[in-house]
Amino acid sequence: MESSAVRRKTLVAREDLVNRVAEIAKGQGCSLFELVNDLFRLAIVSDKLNFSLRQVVVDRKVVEVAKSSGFVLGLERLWYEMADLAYKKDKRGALKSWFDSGVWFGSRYATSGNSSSFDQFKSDLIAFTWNAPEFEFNLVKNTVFVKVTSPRFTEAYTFLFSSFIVGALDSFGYQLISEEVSRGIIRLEAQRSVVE
Amino acid sequence: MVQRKDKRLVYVNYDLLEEVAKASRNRGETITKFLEESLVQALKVTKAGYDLKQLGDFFEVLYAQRILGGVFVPLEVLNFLTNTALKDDKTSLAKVWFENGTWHGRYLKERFGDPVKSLGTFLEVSRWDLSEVEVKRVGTTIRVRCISAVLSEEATHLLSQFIEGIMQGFDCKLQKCDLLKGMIVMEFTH
Repeated sequence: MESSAVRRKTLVAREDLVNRVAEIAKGQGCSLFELVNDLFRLAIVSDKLNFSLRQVVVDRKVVEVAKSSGFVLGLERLWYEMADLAYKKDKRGALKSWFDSGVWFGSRYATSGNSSSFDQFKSDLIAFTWNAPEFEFNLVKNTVFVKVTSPRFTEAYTFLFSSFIVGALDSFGYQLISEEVSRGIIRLEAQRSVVE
Repeated sequence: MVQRKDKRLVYVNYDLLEEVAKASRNRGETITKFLEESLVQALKVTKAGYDLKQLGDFFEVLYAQRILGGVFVPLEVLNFLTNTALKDDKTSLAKVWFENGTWHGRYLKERFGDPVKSLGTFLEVSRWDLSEVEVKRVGTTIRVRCISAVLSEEATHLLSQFIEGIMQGFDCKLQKCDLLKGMIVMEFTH
């Protein structure tokens, strides 16, 4: 609890917003003054890291979705080293493991029955893949073009991640028609047959 | 309290205002706009069931992960990679995890005022396969306890190596280590 001796100043804000946040404060057993100060502290911390409070909330949501999608967050360097080792020891098994995970991940969206499921899938996958500076999905009629570029990907990780995307696209009914994969670069083209 | 029909006065801590003004200037917003945006985000945070104070710790750790090159990987893939990479050579993979932990620990030590607390948040944020995480100081001892119903024996061992590496990055020495499949209990001293 903030001391009553703390110097205060008044600001003005939209009444409807203040009233709703005051209700939240009441529900949390604190004062509006304390809650607003906590908010400002968080906003100051995020500003120092060059992020807005909105971005903090968005990132929290990304992590929540990643969690429910069966992803874990780990060190890039460690994951790459493990991917290299596994790829060297069992290339086919490693590719299948990533493909299957892609199918599972894509199916969560494909089977949702939501008309925007592919858009949601794209947006979430791009959000999870913050280690790739370029990640694009372009949908033209029944063909999807995927472009991923990351100078940090190892060769093994590039092939494995590509397999993951192919698996995910497969769950939406897209079959691979062309593929260009080399270290740090993935270019895929996949097509879905249209039922007349 | 109502100043105008649709406005209301809000008290804020005077000592925070200078930094708030700086943050709002950085965003090209007035303090009023900045306050209102903060209130909107507070509503979203509460709706999503997050705790505002924890969100700050969470974000700092997530930011550290971005700096360190954190990557999301499907848990099933991680398990496959672990099992395959471990084949015939358990020692060198354990060494890789330990070294990565040490590197991570050095960064957390420099970045956070209380790196031990940040380790707890880091494990909670990044390792959702852990159902319980406890990192606490008991006198001069730092106790780390992780529980998971889904972690394999190999993955438990690797995670313990990673934690030991992090603690070495904090200049702490391992005093006690109890490992069971899905359970890590470690104690360290400075």
